[in-house]
Amino acid sequence: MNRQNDEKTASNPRERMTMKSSGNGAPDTQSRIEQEVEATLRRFEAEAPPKAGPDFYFAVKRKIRQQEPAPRAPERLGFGRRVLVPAFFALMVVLNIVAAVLVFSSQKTELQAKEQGFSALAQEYALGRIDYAGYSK
Amino acid sequence: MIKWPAPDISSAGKERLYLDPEFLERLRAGDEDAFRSLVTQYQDLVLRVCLRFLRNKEDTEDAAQDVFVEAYRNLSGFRAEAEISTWLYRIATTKSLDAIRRKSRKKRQDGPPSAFAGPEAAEAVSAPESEDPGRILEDKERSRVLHEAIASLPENQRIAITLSRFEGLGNREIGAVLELSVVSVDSLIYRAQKNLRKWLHKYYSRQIENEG
Repeated sequence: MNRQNDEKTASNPRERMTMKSSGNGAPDTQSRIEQEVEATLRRFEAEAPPKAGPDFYFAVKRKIRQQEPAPRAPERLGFGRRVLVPAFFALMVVLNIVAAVLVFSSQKTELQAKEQGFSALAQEYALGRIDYAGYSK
Repeated sequence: MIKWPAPDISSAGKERLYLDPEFLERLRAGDEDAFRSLVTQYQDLVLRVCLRFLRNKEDTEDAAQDVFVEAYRNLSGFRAEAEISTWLYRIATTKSLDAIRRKSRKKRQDGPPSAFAGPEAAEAVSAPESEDPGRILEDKERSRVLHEAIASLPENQRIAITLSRFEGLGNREIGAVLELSVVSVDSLIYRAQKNLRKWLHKYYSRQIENEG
């Protein structure tokens, strides 16, 4: 970087600018501003390029892995879908059928017992034939 | 196999080379060694570009990593005739600007906005050129002011001046990154320089006024 030889050194840039402004001969403000602008624009060439650390590649790899969608468990899901779900539904159907059969048979047994009871009563009092259809409702 | 020479990272813009078709095939096939070579070859270029925009070590590293993640995902879309460096410059610029936008949004949510180049930013980039602590401090201050001025530019001008002056890219290459014609890039750089000077004039006028 090209530096002006007559530039004074100070502990901070603002102080340096103050020193320039209060120097002998009262330099023209416009040219001072120009100097500052030029010196600042020279920083374009002066900035040091950064260097990557030794683990940069591993950080990139880690990020790629993190951003990949989480792997699913296809075996377990497949087994569940293929075997467990149909088995569950089959079991439910069987249980429903069994429950329906049990309820129906118990109702039938109860009706038959009532029929026998009424038949016996009718015979005892010689009432003839009785239609139990309406009674059972 | 990589067939290009090792890049000279001491000077900007030396890594602008084409990919060997065989190497590109390996990259597309997901060859880890090939990808590692690509990252090693271009990591400094990408970091440099991100740092020019972001001015902060943590954000820069994060953005540079994102650039290679994006490159990894889009290798199939990379045209062999395009320069790999131009492609990476484009991704790096986009990722850096995305990071700046995210940061600006967060700052707006958190509190009043400030210039994106904070006091820590100058420290992140500026390298001491002399042992004089006063001069080091002055260089840091000038870098901070310069980046504040660059941050005040419209986005396209900011990219153009950064790639031109910091990275040393020619107008044709900047045009390839920004997908603009050479004439448009020329005009962008001209306006950016004019605006920078204007901003700096105003800044130093205020400074000198305050001192007086």
